[in-house]
Amino acid sequence: MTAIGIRAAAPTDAAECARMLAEASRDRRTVRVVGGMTKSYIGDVGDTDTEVRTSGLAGIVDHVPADLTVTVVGGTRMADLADALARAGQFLPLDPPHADHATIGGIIAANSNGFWRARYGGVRDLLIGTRIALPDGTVARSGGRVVKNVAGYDLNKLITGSFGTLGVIVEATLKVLPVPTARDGVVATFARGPDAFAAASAIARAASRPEAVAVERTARDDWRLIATARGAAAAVARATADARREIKARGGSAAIAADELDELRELPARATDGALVRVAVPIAAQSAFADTAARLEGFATLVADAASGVVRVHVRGDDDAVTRGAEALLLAARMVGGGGRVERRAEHLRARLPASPTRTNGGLLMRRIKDAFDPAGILEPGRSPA
Amino acid sequence: MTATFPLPYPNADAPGEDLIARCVHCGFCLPTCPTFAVLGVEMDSPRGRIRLMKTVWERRLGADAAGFDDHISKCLDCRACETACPSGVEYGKLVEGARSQIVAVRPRSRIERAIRVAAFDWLLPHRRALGAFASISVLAKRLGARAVLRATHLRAAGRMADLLDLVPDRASASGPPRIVRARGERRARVALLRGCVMGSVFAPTNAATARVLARNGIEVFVPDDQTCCGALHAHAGERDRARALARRNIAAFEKAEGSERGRAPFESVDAVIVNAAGCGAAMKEYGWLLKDDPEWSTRASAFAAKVKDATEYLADIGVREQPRGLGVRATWDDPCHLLHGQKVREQPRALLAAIPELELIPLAEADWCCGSAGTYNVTQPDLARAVLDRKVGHILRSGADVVITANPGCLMQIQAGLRAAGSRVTVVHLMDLLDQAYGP
Amino acid sequence: MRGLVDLLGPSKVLGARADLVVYEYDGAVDTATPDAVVLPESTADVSALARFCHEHAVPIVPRGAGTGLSGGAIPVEGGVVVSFARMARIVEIDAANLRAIVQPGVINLHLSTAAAPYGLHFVPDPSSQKACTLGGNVAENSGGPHTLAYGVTTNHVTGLEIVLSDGEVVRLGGKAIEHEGYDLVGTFVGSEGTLGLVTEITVRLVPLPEDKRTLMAAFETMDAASETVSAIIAAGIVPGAIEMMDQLATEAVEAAVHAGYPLDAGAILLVEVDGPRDGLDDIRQRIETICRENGARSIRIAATALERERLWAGRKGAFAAMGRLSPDYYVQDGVIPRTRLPEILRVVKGAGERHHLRVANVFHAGDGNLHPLILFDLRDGPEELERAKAAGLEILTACVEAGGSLTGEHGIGMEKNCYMPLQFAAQDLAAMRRVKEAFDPAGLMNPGKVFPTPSRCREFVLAAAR
Repeated sequence: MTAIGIRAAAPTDAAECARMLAEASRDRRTVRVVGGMTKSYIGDVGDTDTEVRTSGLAGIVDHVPADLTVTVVGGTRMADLADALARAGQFLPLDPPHADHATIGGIIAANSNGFWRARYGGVRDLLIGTRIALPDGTVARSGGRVVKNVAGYDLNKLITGSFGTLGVIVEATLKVLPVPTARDGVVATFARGPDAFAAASAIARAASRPEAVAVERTARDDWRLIATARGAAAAVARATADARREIKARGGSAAIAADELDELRELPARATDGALVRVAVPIAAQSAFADTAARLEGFATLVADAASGVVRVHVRGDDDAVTRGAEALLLAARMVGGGGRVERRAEHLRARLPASPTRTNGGLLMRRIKDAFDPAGILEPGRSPA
Repeated sequence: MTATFPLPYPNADAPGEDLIARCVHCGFCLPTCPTFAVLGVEMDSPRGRIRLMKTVWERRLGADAAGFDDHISKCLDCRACETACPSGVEYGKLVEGARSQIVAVRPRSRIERAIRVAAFDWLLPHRRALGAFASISVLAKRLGARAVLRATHLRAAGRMADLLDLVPDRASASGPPRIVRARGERRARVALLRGCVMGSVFAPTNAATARVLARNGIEVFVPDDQTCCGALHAHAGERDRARALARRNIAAFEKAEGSERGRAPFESVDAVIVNAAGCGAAMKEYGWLLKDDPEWSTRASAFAAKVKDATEYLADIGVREQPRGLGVRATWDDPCHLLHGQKVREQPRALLAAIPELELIPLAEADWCCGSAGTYNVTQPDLARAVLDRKVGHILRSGADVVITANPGCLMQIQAGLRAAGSRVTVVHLMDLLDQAYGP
Repeated sequence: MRGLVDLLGPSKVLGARADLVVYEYDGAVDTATPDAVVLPESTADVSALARFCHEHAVPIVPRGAGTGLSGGAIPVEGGVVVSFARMARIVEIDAANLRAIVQPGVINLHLSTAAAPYGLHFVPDPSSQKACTLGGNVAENSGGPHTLAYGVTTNHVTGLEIVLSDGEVVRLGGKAIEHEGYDLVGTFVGSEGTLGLVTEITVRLVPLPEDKRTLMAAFETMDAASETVSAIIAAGIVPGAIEMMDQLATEAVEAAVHAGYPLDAGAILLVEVDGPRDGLDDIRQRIETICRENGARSIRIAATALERERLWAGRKGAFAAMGRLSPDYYVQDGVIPRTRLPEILRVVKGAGERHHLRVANVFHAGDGNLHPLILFDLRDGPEELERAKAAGLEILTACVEAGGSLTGEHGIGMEKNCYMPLQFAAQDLAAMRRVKEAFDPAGLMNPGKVFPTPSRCREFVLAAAR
């Protein structure tokens, strides 16, 4: 995987990792941080002088089931953590894409969420403590191992979604939950997008609290809604009954869901051609946004976490159509008060289609923060937001 | 910034350290304070005012400081903060104490002193004088004096015109007779406070109160020689004047009740009934007012223990005769000195619920002051107006045709506010409403 | 002072002595007098004020309702206190998007009241929610009893408009759940007024739970109640709230609200579960069983909404009711892993005894967020506060050593900034300082808070060295 001439290193502890960053800083060598190598398609990162691999930074530091928290080393694979938690009857309530190979550090750095955010919150809500190796050679801690903590600035939030541009996540403490006893779900098809989103919205805000509510539109002409619930049996039964009622009220036809969400979740892994645009919009704006997306020339697939307003659209076809489509989608997201990026695009489109073509609010502050943490600008060039 | 002020901490009525120390400055009172809502500054919040008192106590600020007078004077003394306070701070006592301090040390203009003498010594304690004043005011109002006064464009004249707005359209002196016998079997015997404003401007309400009580088996007698309760004096910091009136009242009620030597005072009377919330709140605190007077403190406490608001007493003893139906859409506005001053909340609501066919609409912020607050609408007209506008807005939005309350100041203030807003909604004392429901 | 009046007009600037002394305090114990108080009415006012302060190198100290419990709004290094009492408008309730936009001076409870007709509410419910402002909640990352299941302020803010100390107005985030680039909204929330002034907030609104069950259980000892808390969590139940009160706290609370709290119990647990009606009684039943298994001597279920409100009014008014027990109190806010509750509660008790001070406990047991209320009387001399603080420090040290935190929801402020080295190493604080310098390079925003300051913390550092 490593291109010729790039030095790769796999530190085995936090201090070593920080030391490597400090040396790279001193020598002005650019660094790419590699975990499970699952999201290398993200951003404008090109070749770097060095790769820091977190494969040597793995393992569970502490898990106290009665405290409902777990502390892991940054390079720990999500799958390994899940296995360990399952043995104690618990789980990390997070369902990001690439869960088979992704590491906890990578998931945090990419703010990689799934559909369960509807019920349990996202990475930023579950992460309560981090240790970060910084380019100045230090390891800084933020938060801690307790679920409530306001001592000092919340650098956990800053690091979530920072794509390795500020430091390397060498340790993380997360909230976990007991595995619920029952699960069920419904899948429904609708002829019209607005009906699917209206049903999704009603289900998402129902008192019965679903675990996930997703809407999918494929190149076929129908819209699919999937809603799942987990919890105590009575609550799950109620949730699916509520979902069926909302679906029926809007002319949808409901069936029992199987593993549809798994397929939808892995859209980023499959969208290797054209462009995959990922936006976050106010939830009530999803329907109109989806409608716009489905009319695009080259439209292939749309998957929405309808409870959160995170929508991915895959466009494919000739390069001009893909570029135009992606730009139109980002513009549409901005017009409704949201924003987004080109999460993935075909390799040859990188030059034509930047990952973050639009400016973000607070760009000046982001640049100042980037400069303060990484004055030499070595970390993840091309993934910095500012 | 730690300069101390040489002035002695002025008098025994000044807010004491123990009362001040109860405040843990949590801020729970701020959102309940009408003046804080209007002005948005800490000095005009209960917590801020207590802090000012504390600062004076610590001698970091003079009791004669203009700012102290200003912010303590701007307080409505509505005591909503007491209801909100988990620590049980007795704010009413604090603010009245602070005002007495200001009265003691702060020089006042000759005109202001003259007005105080006229109002507090001459007008309020003398029923006939007040009655005459009320009659003249009513006459002036009917003759269109307001328009004349406003045409002068003088601020003082404008203020007087505003005050005339408050005066009811009719003055009447037809109060209750000395004794009103219970109808049917007698359940209790009570003495009625006539009151200064109630006794002159609202005499019919006194008569109504007596009739309603009598209907329910309660004998009512009206002691002679009674006078103004002194509430307005105490609110204004005139505690010596308030004490003088309190002593006169205690003596008058003791005498009328026929207390004999050797018997515990007020054994033969079940309650002293007050239908003006402001008076009731003050009289329930006669013990506190006279606490430093060895000759009177026990008598004052015994008297205070008998004081009951008319609504409180009637609801607690229970309505015996079912009123007839009144097909009105009404809303209840809590007088501050009933709800916050006397902590009476449920009883008036229970009485209203006892009237068939009366549709009771909840009033938003019913527990907020209307801006009358004793003489507040006279001394702080702009703030009083702002507070009143808020109240009137809620009443108009409620859709009620009648506002029910139980204090003369509120009755006048709210009625004036509604009229100024071009509304035909009327304001009625709960005892008048009950009297109407019972019919002749 | 004159410059401020020229800039903003006399109605927005306070400078008289009687005005300034009432901005010396907040809900806690520290005090300092500001040089001036400004009452802005718009973002433009705030921006103009910040520019002015930047030009003259004057510290800026934002203030909401002054209910804070760590001295966050105290102008410890002088300067201008900015009160947001007049920026208190709910700009928009956007029910379709489950968002509201508010000005910083809006009172927490007023937002939930305004959202209620839409079947929504704002989740964080600090005990001071009747009085505290949302701007203050953002600054402190406030919690509350019901954040056990639903998260604290930072989990419910998606957008901010802030004014930096140089007067620049910056918008961060918006109504969407996340935004491109660094999560500066999340970074700003809980920064205690040291990064900038908040002038507008976009918050999440959450559907009201369909139903609730509120249960009060009385125990002989704090230990028994603590074990019950662990047992409930271990059983896989995450209630909406689990609160604990000891006997002394109960005494003050019962006097304030008359909710029927038993006065002779060693500890009381208040547990609330909410959600869909289905299955709710099963959960309540399981909790009841766990309580009984752990020695609860009486259990009461709130039968009506009014009864539930009473119980909560008592819990939420508990700090404020301390005036019934003592003229002054010093409240600590340490957090521990919930499994360490019994042990740390013994430390709390010991600290009180050693310093001859009464300590009442009322706290968020489900989160492990302690609130020992150390009672003292300043009238007995200023050394009383020192004794209270010494007892507090013992407790906090134990919390940190147990793997916990100095503060769960009240903030560091000027009260615990000297203690920060207990929890954070120099490099941890250095990383935080980088953020501070990016937002406020001039160092004018709320100086003397969060970070240890050499002048005020010297004694503490010396004592620690000994």
